[in-house]
Amino acid sequence: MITDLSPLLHHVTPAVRTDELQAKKGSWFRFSSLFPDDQKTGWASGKTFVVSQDTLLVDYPVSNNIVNQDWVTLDLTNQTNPTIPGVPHGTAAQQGTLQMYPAQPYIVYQIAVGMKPGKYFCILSIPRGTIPIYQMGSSAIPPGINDPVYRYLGAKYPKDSPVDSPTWFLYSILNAPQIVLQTFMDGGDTMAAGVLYGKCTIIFRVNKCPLRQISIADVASLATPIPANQTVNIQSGRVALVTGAQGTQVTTPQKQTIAVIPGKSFVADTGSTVQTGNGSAVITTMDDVHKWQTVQERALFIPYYTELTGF
Amino acid sequence: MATARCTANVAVQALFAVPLHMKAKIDAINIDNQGVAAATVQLEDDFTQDVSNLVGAPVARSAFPFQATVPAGISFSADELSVKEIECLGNVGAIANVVQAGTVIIVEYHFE
Repeated sequence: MITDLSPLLHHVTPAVRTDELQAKKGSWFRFSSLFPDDQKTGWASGKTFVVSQDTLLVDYPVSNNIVNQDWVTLDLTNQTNPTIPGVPHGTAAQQGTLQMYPAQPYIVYQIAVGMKPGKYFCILSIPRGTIPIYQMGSSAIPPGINDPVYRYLGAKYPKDSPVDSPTWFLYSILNAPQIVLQTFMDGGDTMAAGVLYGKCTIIFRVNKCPLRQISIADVASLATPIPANQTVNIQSGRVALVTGAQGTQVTTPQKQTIAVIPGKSFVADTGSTVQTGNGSAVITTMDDVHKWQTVQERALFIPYYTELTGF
Repeated sequence: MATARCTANVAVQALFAVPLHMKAKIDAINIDNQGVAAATVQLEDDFTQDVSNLVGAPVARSAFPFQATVPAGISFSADELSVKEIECLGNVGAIANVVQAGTVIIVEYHFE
C-alpha cells in the first residue's frame, strides 16, 4: 500500500490542493502484483480499477493528551483487541484499533493524514511490529520509536501533512496488513505536576472509494470508432490496430487490399487506408496506446509494503 | 475570540471547556480586584492524560499555566507575551486564594 505521494510528486506542484489528490468517480487505482494473489487480496493483486461511484468522505479525528517523550500507537485496522506479540513499543499503548479498513473487497479507503499543529511527530510501520517504513535501509541505523536518536528518521511532522491540506495518504483494503502510526510527543503544550503534556490531534479524512476492475470496454473507449462505409487514412507516423466487422478492409501502402477478420486485430502501417463495409470498426493508433500508457502511469499505483521496505 | 468571566474563589471557577480535538489559546487575562484583599489568581487546566506507552490507564492532571497576585483596588491585564504561548487542553477555570466577589477575572481565548 502506498504511504505518501512520491509517485505523484513529479507532476504536482507545491500549490496542489488536497481535493485534487483525492480519488473521485472515474479515478484509477492499480495494485502491485506484490499483493498476495490469494483469498485475502487476490481480487486486487496486479489489477487496475476505476472508482465506479461517487466517493464518500468521512472525517475521523483522533486526539491524545500525552506526556513529553511518550507516545501512543494508532492502529488503523479493524482488529479491536490487537495482541500482536513482539510489538516493540510494549502493550500499554494498545487501545484498540481505529476501524479504518473496508469490510468488503472492491473498496479502497484513501486516508489523508491531517496533522494539527503541535510538538509531535509520527512514525509509520506496516505491518505492526516491524521497523518503520521510512528508513535508510542500513542495519547500522535501524529506526524505531524506542531509539532516542533514530526515532527521528523518516518522522512525519505536522508541517509535512498539515490538517488544512494533507499530502500524506495511506490506503487500506480488506485484509491488507496493519497500518500503524506511532505519535511521539516531542515537547509539550502545558505543564502539570512538573511534567510537560501535549495534545496531538490527527484528522484522518477517509475517502471511501468503490472500485470496478478495468475492462476491455474501458480500453476500447480510448479507440477511435469508424462508422460503416467510411474510409480513414492512417496518417504519417501512426501505426494502427484495426478491429472491425465483416467487410472491413485495409489497403496497404503497396496497394494490397486485405480483409480484416471479424474478432481479430490487424496492424495497419502508416499510409494504409481503412475502409469499413456495412459494419463499423475501431482503430487504436499508437497515440491511443501512448494515451493508455499515460493513463496507466497516472493511475494511483499502490505498492505492497514490502516494495517500500525492500529498497 | 470568546470571553469567559468569573469571580475569585478558593474553589475552581469554571471558565470554558476545550473541545476534544482542539486546544485553547489564551488571548488576554484581565483581573479587576475591587475586593478588600489582595488576590492571587491562577488559571487551571484540568485534562485527562490518555493511555500511552508509559501510562496504562487514563490519569487526571491539572496544569496551572498562569498566576498573578493583584493588590486590592488594582485592575491588572496580563501582557501579550505572558499569555500568547499558553495552550490549554481540557476544562479551564480560575482559582484564587480568597473568596471575593469584588475580584473579577475575565479570560479571552480561542480554539485551534
